[in-house]
Amino acid sequence: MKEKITVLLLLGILFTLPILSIIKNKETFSLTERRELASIKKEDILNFNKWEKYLTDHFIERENFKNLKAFISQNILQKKENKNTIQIENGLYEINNIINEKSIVYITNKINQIIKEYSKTKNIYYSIIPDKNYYLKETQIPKLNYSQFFNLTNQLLKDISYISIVNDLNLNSYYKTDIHWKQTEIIKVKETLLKGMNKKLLKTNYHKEKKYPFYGVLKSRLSNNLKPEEIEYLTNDEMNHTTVYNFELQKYQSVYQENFEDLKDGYDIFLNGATPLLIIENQNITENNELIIFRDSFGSSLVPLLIENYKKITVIDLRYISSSLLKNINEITWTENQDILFLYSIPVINNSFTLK
Amino acid sequence: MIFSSIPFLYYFLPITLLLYFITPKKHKNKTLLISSIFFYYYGEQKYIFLLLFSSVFNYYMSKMINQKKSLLIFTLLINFALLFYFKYTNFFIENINKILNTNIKILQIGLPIGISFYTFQATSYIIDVYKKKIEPAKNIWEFATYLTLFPQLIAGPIVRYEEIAKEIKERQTTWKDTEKGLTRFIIGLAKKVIIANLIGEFILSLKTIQLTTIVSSWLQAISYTLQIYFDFSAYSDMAIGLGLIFGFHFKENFNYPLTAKSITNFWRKWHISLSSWFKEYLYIPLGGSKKGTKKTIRNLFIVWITTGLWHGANWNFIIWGLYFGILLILEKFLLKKFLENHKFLAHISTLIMIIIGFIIFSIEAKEIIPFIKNMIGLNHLPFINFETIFYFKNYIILFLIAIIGSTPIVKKLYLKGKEKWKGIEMIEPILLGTLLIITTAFIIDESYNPFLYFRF
Repeated sequence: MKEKITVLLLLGILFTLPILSIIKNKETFSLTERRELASIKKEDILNFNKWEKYLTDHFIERENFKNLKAFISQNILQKKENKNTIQIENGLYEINNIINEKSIVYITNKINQIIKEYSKTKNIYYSIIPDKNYYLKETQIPKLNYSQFFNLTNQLLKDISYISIVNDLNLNSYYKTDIHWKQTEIIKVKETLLKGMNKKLLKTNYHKEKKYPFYGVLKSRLSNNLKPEEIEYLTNDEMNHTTVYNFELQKYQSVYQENFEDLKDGYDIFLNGATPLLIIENQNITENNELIIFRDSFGSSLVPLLIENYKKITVIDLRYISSSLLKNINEITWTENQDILFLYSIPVINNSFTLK
Repeated sequence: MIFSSIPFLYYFLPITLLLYFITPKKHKNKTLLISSIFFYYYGEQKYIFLLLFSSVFNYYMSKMINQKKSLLIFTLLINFALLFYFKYTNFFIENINKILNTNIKILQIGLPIGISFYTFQATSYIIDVYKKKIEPAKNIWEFATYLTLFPQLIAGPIVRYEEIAKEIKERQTTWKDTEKGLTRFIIGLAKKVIIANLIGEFILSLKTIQLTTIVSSWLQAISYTLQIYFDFSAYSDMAIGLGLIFGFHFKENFNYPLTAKSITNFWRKWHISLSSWFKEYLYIPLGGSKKGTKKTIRNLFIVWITTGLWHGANWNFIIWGLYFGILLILEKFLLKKFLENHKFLAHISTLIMIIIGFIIFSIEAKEIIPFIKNMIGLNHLPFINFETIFYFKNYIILFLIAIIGSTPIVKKLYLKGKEKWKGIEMIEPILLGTLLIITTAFIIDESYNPFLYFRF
């Protein structure tokens, strides 16, 4: 009798779950992982690697299975981390303690190459955004050897002016469940960067706006009781006189996305998130004052704060546009007086092969 | 296709089971054969023809061989030539280039998955037919079903035709066997997905430590042994379990080898099907230990260098084979009595020798000596640091589960418990169902699921 029960139960699981997976509605995007789920095109029909990803991605109750794994790992196996993510006090952190020298060489070569090929100005700067682990104590998690990291990067970019912002940030500058910084906590960063680029600091009255709920990218990696956070963003009158042209969508957009509830990643509220090229123009400024900024996702929340200082800001994300194509884009102008800023975070510098 | 994947577990396996059980008895082998060929094709599209060739060639040669030595040699030569070409050509070219300073081009060939396993099965069959130990397979379907049988095709155990000849022709599937098979399969799956893969993650974490310590080196070394044991024995568990579901009774391939009290004893408990293949088809034909000490030592060296090479075309595998060969010779001629009289010491020293063996197995030849120096503190490393403690704490429960799981303690306790409380048996289906769901969760969210046998 017991044999029959065991066999029927186990076979029941093996037969039922795939059938349910096939008949359930197909999702195409994973909100918790911020990625497209695998799909099968006609030409992939015999590509079994793609099938493997597809069948795994579209397994019934995948999110709940992932949560179960996190729960077992943390509560039964007593692992402190899951998927390389760990909770310390009320914050989530991604463990990364390996310096990827090849990646640092790759991004610095790219920066040097862009300067050589395009720039006409001497006002070229770079800054490195520390990840939030930088501000943890040495004995909390395994961390990068940051001094080695900064030294190596600085050595390879020795011809460009470096603006350090590490002292303008602390653990509270970052979201608890996300890797990014909070816009409301980077006013000092903005001032340091502007000072470093020899720009006047203007008195600005910002208004705080809030959106809720914001689930950071680290939230789903770990079984945790952390509540969703608020996203706060800063507006001022200057932004009402600003146009933001999205080169990819071929249309004008607002500085902050209004349809927060529909965003796949709440952080995309800033400048529509990941996009290859934006041209931001401030109609209130008459002098020819331009900035070209090469940035990653951290830059999305910083750039709106620079609007009052520049007539034109060209925002380039090399993860989505090849540097070799920049010469073909008329909207990007290279002049002798403009500022060029390369602003990259440590996670991107340490994993830069996505830059084109 | 690997067992610990969603496509295998929830698509290939149920569909194959369904087709198999609805197929009339006389066509069941054909269903199994077609399933096995698809299983292989899923993971190895380029070299599927080799497997098919091996099935057809060896079948027809076995029909013609009829104690003709020349045909036996010809058949073995073809089998081993293919194995040599695909597995060892580039290794030999690389070494010739290094030694003679030549520039012979490396061939653009990959290693066909499972070639070492099915070549050994095919050659054992041919030799056994030649020696008249077994009758040749009645038809090509029977032989091809045997050679391509998906449960043991890509990672063993090496099943000899004589072991399942009767079952290839006629087999019964019973509720009891199916239950046993499913149980064994799910336990194997959990061993692979939860223990072996997470120990693999632990090793990767230890490798990221910025300053290696003596303790981290030891943890890494022990983890190599545990990972390989759990990975490999889990595959054997799954293969044996799947075999049972389809009515085949494969022999055991592992018998708690980490509890061995000597290296000789270890090799009677580790990858038993490979050791017995080498014993039967190489060691004994060379004369075994019956032709004097010198020849015994020579034979042991030949067998162990070949065993090392079988595992992969790399110097570390040759060193690994030689290492065990030397240890076995020392035990056979010098240490046998000492080990018998000092059981605790024998067990500890055997464990240390095994751990060193799996360091040799797991890392590049040039890294072996520095690694062992790290372990014994000859490289002026700190004893322990924060990162070592952090990662050890993170994996300590898993590490303990792995150590306890590598002994028969859990099995013994469970059997005792079963004797005491008869009702415990009735919760087995729930436990197994839960384990299946948990392993599925680990497969779905896996970040590390290597296939360790690609080089075998």
